Amino acid sequence: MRVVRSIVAVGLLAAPPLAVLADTVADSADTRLSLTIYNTNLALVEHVRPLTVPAGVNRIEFAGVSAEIMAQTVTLDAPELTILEQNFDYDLLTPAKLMEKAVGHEISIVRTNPATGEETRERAEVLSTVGGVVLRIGERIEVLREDGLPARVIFEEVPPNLRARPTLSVLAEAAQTVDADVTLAYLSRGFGWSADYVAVLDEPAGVVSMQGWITLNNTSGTSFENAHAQLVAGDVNVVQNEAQWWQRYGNVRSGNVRRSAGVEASQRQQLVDYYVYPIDQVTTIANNQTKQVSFLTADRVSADRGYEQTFSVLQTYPEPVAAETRVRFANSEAGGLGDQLPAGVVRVYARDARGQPQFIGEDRIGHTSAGSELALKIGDAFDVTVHPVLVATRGATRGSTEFDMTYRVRNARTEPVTVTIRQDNLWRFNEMRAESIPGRRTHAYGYAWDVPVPANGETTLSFTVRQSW
Amino acid sequence: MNAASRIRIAIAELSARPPAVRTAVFPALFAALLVPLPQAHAQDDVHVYSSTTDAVSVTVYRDNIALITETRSVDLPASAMTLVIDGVADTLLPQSAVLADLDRTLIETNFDADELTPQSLLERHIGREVTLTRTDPGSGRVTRTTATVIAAGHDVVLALDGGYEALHCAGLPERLEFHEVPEGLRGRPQLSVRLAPGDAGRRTFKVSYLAHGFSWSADYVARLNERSDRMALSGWATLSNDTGWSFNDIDLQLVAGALNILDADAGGSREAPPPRAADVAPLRECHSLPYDSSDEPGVDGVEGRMMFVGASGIGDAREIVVTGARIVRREELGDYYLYRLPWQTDLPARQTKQVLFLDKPDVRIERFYGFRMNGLNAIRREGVVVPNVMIAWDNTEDSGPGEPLARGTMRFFERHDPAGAEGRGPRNQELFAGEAWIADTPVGVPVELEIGRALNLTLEITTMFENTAEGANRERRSTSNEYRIVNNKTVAVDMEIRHFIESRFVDARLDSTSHPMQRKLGDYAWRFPAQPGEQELRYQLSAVEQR
Repeated sequence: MRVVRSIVAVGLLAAPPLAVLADTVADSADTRLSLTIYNTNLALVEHVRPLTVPAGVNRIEFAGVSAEIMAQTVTLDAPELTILEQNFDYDLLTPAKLMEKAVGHEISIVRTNPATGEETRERAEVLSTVGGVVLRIGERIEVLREDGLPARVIFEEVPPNLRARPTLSVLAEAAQTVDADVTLAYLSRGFGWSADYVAVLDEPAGVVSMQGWITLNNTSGTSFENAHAQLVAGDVNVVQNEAQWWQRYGNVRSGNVRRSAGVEASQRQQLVDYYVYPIDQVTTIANNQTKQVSFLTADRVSADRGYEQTFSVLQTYPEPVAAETRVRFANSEAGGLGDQLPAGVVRVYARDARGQPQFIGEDRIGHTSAGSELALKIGDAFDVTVHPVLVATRGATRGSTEFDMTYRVRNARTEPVTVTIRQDNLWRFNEMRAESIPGRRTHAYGYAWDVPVPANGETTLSFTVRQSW
Repeated sequence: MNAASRIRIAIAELSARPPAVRTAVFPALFAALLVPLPQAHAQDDVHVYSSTTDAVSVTVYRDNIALITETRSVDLPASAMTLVIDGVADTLLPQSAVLADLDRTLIETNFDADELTPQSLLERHIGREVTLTRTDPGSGRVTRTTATVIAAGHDVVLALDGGYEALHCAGLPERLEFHEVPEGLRGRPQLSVRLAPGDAGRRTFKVSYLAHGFSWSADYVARLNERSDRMALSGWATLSNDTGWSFNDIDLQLVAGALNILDADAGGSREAPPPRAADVAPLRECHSLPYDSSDEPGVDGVEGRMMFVGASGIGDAREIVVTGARIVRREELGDYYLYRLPWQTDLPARQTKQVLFLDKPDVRIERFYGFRMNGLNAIRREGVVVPNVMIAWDNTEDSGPGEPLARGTMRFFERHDPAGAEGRGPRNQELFAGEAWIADTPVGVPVELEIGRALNLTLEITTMFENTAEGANRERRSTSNEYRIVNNKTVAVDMEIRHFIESRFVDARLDSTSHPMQRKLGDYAWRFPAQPGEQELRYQLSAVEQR
């Protein structure tokens, strides 16, 4: 006990309680509101707001900030103010909290006689709220509403720390009366944007028309009016938990859309290693709103459709496997595009017999520099199938095996197609002994063949590979 | 590629901004003059509403998704304006919305989903006045008090008469009356576009978007003839509208094929999984007492949401409509097939509709009995087994349906005459013979389906294993198999026995066999007629295990 008391004594000596002179609610409209939105559920919000406070210690409450504010990132830039404390109160005001905070205090109980409607009012002290509300009324101890009869509880006050919404308040000392614009900046969750592309494929002309949209959404719980918004493309590192890290790592490994990385420079505004897309007009981003702004239109980008399928091991499949359909194009100047494409989903449309665009599938592209070649997987081809059959295996020499493999490629379409068959797990110490169609090595453990298949016909790719151990 | 078709930022093209708007970009200078920041409002002054459609086309995919294309007409003024597109399906996927033929520069498209719910109504009234109405249960006397909403998280705290009270915690019938709907809250999500100034006049434009809650599946009915060498095959597309949205006089299409559709968390079009129950319905508490919902009518968001779920939930009596025997037309769509209803139809909310998309009265099939022996592993397999009933056909023009078959369930029926000559029981009755799943099958790919297990046909299997040294460090494993086939039917049946060899075995060979062998998809296979009575198949296979 003695130790505790001495600490309290020291504390009192060192820090006399602050005399808060004024409570100010800074709720006037922002003179300028800026939002920099990242595509990782994050935004940097900057409010410039007029503030008038008298000299002395002030508690300033900022209204209209994001409900998803990350309180630890708040900075207040106010020339004449010294910040003493920043508080983020998130103890939400609920009936249960009100009662908990009333333990040891008095409340009023109004009972209504269900037969007559007569009201009787009594003062009560709240003793406990654990598992039920225990009250002392005069000399009696009672449990609130144990009889199931109507009884209203009236609280005289709401404890100051309980808030209807999470609230940011700053304790600041002003040397003199301040009447200036202050800047409040913080990071907030509840924002995101993505790039969404619409690609309409015109197969006879061998072109695709591309439209790119920035899709911006606000689920922060707050509407932002007349904001200067800009969007940042590029992965900003955000500390995540381990599971998300693995997911991210896995995505990097499995993303196989980009076929070659581009080196063409683009005219976009760059921010360190990110691209910035400013939205030129002041815009209002309401809560629960999804907003789309066009950022790219390209009418005639050379494109074609191709088929491919990847097999990881040499084995027989009980049934044919559909070939993947890919739409291939390059975002190069020469191809008709030539801009870096922020990561997003490309929705591909083709025209039906009546000329109406119909959705035929979608794929995700990563942040793609200009000049890259892309091959979007849009779906499985109904009429182009591949049937793998492992015909025979031979123990050729000690420590090696020969595999006779066939891929029977069928095409039920009325035009000839070329199907790229990719075989993984063929390391460089595997020797291709014979192949019906010349193949090529695509990477350290992969091989590929372009198999031409006539209309309404089939072609069997066969090869013999010797694997050494 | 001309320069005009190259990249541009649509919003950057709006350089012809009126000077008043332009100055507003520097509000610090004009703050005193520009209260309260009018520039956005200036552009939003003119609202044009499009609430009817001229024509609607719905294309239903198999992945709980549909493409809806609406043709609409609207009179546009020359000024900058906001076009509000009313009555789009509320399961709309905002990032998929595309407008065409408006002939005006789009500044932005907004999808506002701030829905008017009991909860949002309360939340938007924090700090505002409402009227609290209490009805005395004894006398029926109604008291109306003006109150201010202090908190409206899950539970409502009101300030009234100088004190603070919780709503719905007293056990009295209480309700709140609001004086207006807060700005921005609406009964259904709304799609609106802001357009730059342009020529005034009437436009017929198209808005297309993907929406969830629609799907279709293929169901086949195959009627086998008495000899099981022919079948009549019909294909039904069963399509459903699980949304609360009804469509009338629409052009309806179905797409068969496996589209690449990504998950919602990857930005894709697949519907996000529903939130966990705990997130949807927080437990209500009153002053640490469990809330008894039987006391009062519900005003809070929890009950409102439950009502919503009930209205759109699965399990309602749904209407099922089967159209007549008119066949829908098939077209190619890229690498898929599109089935088009040749007539306009209705697709009401929560309706299931069936249309015929395939009708082939005479398909040549094979019916046989199959058994597949698994590998050269050390597990002994012997005893009595029942072979599978197999139905196979070539999906070609000459002998099979010669039609692409969209994946689905195929149900087989056969005519059965159990009494035969004795004349007991129903004659020539149709029976369900079994069902199988068929994958997407193009023309030219043979089909083989396992539809059930044989009756009156058994195999007795005896298997022996033997390992023999073969040179240095090699051991050859051989398996001798004897199958005694017992056919208690009155007719001969086709029998197919297959033997699979695992890929770790090399240099496989057939050492001896009693019947001719053919390779089938890498397996060793024997196909022969099994006459009524008993017969045997014997063979020896061997291979070297790779080490």
